[in-house]
Amino acid sequence: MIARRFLLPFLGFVLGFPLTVTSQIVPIVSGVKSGEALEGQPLEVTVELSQNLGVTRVLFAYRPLGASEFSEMEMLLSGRSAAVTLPGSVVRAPSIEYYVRVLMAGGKTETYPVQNPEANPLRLAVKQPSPKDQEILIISPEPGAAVAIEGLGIVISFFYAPPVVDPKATRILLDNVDVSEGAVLSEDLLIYSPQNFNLPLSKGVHTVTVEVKDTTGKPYHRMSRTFTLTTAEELAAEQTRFRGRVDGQLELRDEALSASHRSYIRGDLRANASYSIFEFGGLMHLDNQDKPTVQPQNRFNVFAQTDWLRLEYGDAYPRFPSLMVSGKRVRGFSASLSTGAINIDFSTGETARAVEGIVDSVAAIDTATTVPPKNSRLLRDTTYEFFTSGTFKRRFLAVRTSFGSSYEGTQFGIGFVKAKDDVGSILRGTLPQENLVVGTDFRVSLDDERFKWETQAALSLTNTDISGGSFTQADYDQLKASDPETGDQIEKIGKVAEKIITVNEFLFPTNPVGKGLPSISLESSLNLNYLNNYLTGMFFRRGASYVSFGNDFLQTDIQGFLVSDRIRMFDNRVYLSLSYERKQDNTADTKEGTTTYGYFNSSITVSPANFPSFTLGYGFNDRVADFNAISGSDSTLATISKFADEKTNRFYVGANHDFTAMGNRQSVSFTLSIADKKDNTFHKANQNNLFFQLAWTSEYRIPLQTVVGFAISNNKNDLQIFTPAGADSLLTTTEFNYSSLTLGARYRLLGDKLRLAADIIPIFGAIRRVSFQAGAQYAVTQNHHLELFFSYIQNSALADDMISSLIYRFNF
Amino acid sequence: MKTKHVLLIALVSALLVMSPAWAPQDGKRDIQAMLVRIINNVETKAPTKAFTKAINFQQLKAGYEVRTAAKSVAVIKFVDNSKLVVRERSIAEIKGQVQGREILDRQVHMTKGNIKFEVTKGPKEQFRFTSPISVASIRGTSGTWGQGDSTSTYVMLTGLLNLLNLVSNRSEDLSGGQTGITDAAGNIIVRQSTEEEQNDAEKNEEQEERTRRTIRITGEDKDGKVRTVILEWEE
Repeated sequence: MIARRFLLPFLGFVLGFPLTVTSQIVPIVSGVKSGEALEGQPLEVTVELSQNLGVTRVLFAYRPLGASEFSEMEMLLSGRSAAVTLPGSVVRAPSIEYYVRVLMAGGKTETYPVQNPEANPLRLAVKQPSPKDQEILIISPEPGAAVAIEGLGIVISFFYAPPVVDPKATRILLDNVDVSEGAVLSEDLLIYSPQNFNLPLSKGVHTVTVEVKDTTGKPYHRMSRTFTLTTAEELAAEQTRFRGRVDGQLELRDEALSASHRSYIRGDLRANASYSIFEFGGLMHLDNQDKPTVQPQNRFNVFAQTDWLRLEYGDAYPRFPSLMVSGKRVRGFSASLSTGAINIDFSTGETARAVEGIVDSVAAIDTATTVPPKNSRLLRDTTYEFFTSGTFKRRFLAVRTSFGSSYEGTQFGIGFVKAKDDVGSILRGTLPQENLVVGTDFRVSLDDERFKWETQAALSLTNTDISGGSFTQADYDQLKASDPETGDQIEKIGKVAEKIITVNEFLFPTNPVGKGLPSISLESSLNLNYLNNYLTGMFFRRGASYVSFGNDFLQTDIQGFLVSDRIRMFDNRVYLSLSYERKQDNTADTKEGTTTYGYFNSSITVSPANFPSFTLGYGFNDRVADFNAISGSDSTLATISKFADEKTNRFYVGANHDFTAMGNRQSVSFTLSIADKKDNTFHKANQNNLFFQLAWTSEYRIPLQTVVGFAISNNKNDLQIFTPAGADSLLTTTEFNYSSLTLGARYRLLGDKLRLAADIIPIFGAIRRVSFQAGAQYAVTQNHHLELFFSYIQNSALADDMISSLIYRFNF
Repeated sequence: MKTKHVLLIALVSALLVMSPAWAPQDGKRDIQAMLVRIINNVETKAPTKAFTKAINFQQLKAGYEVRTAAKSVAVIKFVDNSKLVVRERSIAEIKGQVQGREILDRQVHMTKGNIKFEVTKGPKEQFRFTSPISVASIRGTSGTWGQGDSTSTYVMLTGLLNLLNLVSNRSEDLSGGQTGITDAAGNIIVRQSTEEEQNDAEKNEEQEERTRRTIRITGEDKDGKVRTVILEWEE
């Protein structure tokens, strides 16, 4: 065994053959869950972590079609899971590509997928409105409507249904009870009136499901609608009275992991109410893991709003032009006034709370010979403590005034963002910072937003160390002594500028509009939605020194353009997506050379009648630098190649088919994605990633639902390793392969009051573990639910994990 | 015999000439709609018949009229999910034809009253609101239409509408947030809607409005103490 362990690398080294190394690690992310992604609808995504020791932040990086850059949103970390809700505007068909970044204490970052997440990210298939949704329409009840029992009727229109549909064979399920026999077909309308059949229906939420079949009896389409049943009296009273809703949950969770054991108590409370034109409410998230040594885990927010004014106090995510603020949590006060003619957005508070630094050591320093480092603090005489820097409290203020409607027409806006670390908020901290962004934006939206042109520009100034404050008069005098003319200019400007930002030697850039406009960012996009095309063109330029503390995830020192089109054809049955982006860095000519990035993505989704819908995709991204790099210092052995010269081809196939077999409803889906990167530099960092997933869901009448899934992830990475001078370099290959099997079952009992679920998920290969999960949901009453969950993870390399949780959910 | 041949040829010719009339007009049918909700006193009238009390989920076809009394509302839905909320004291008539999966023509004629509309965007279909003085052509639009004796008023929430005055033959386009008024003198005025107009257009009247009534009856209980019984109900 030992001989084998050493012999293979040795042979690989000597013979110069690619060497294959199989690693086995435990990835920090054990899984990602989301609901069904529907185009334009907000989507909640939850990341399950295998352990949370040392995890400081979890970031969800995503890009919808047409974007080459990943945007990031910070997830709400809560114990061993982290959650984020993607806004509906980014949930666009056919899919969202994503990966997860987990930032660990000490600066280490882990990702999911573990290998090459940017080159071969994961995908969330986004369901576009099915073309069949436009063929068969539920006319009544309306989505989410409150309907009086005596006024309830189910009406389905087949006016747009193709001839292949047999309206008479349609099944109508009211709360899973087949009521089709009582339905009447009148020309294009299928009507069912429950009161004609004395069907007992209680007040509350109900679901109607419509299963449409074709003329051969095969399932054609299925759709559901939820509505609330009430009484005419309650409906009438509803219009005039105070309306309120409270919901929440309490979770007790115990995580006995291989590396740690923690118990969590979390509570969520959400309340919304309305009276006349006023709406108000709030939310609160309490977590026993919230402590002063980390950024807040708890959240709270209260709001009040009318159609034109919204006031918020607590944790808010204010909306400003993206160059200024995007996805930033601000704890404080936010307000938004929208009169249509003049609008004001305002947000003030803190974006980071003070977390004191940690003392590493205490030592004496002779200041006559040694300058104390920044991460030290004088305790007494010559005794200093050395520390790991904490986090300063960061105060934040953003204001934007705009003129014109937020929806249709023209709008012009101007605003600023000011963020400053509170120097005195902690004792042990280094490099407190300050940032100022001034921006303007312009939007023209016409023809029911079919034509939309949006432009924004911003200028930033950043000070990377304000601990010493602005220049003093002595500093100016010193500057003037060395260069009277320049010193005089700096003093004049500095004394004016210090009223808005700290002016010292750490302020950058010194000339915001100098060569390459380093402080300026500009974006302009045009969207045209005509003739079944959704065409987007965008130009962007972000300066090399542009920084906004309101948007941490902006790629800077880049300029380029993007064009994309999403085309619907053949009655929306074919959906073609194309996008191309080209961009370059080195906007201020401050780098050795310029790197050009290209990104192309295409996909076609076909939803034929009576045939599985499928998606085919192809894309590439390349990166080429116009300057060379050398592999080592020894010029005789060194290899020269371009600094960057690579291309990644990406292929994607996905399909989904719903059908009936042996009287049971079946749903089969599969996904195959391949990324192949060719690195032409001397690094030869070629990569090959393959991901395949198959899932088969069966719904039986008993009522049992089973899921069988299988997934394979194969990853191969090459890298040319350069050894010390005089030795040959070595091409190494690392493989990271694993596969998983999912066996799951769901069973409903006691008239749907009790739902049981169980899953077994063994994982083989580089990751070796078996996950056993079991859970039960019980509806105590209509407003009170209990959920019990157990997860046992058998790890091959570590001790086993055991997680259990009890959740109580309620609503009034 | 010769006469018989002539008659036969004439008959066949006549049948051939008349044959288009027998054909189902290329599959053309009357447009179909449904009263999905009625509040209080709503009546319908089939062509050549008298008004009768409407019932929930009653079908409406071309030529049907819907009449609402005070504090009454009728919600009509068409096969493409377009919705009309016929507000109180209105009389509206539905007209139109469909062919296959296409709505050839769809009109609502109103001489007096108020309708809130939410018209589904279709690839070709148009909706026309007609009155003695105006015709409005709309597609994928929401707003309200108020018809008086001598004026037609449209308040647009979303989309586009073309308003034609039948007296002067002038027409104007209206978009979201605008109000268009046209009168029997041939004028058309288009301006930004007032907040009150927009609020009125957005008002949801699909829920029943009930009046709360109270009676206080003062008397004595068995111990001789004065007590007041309060009876409250809604009607």
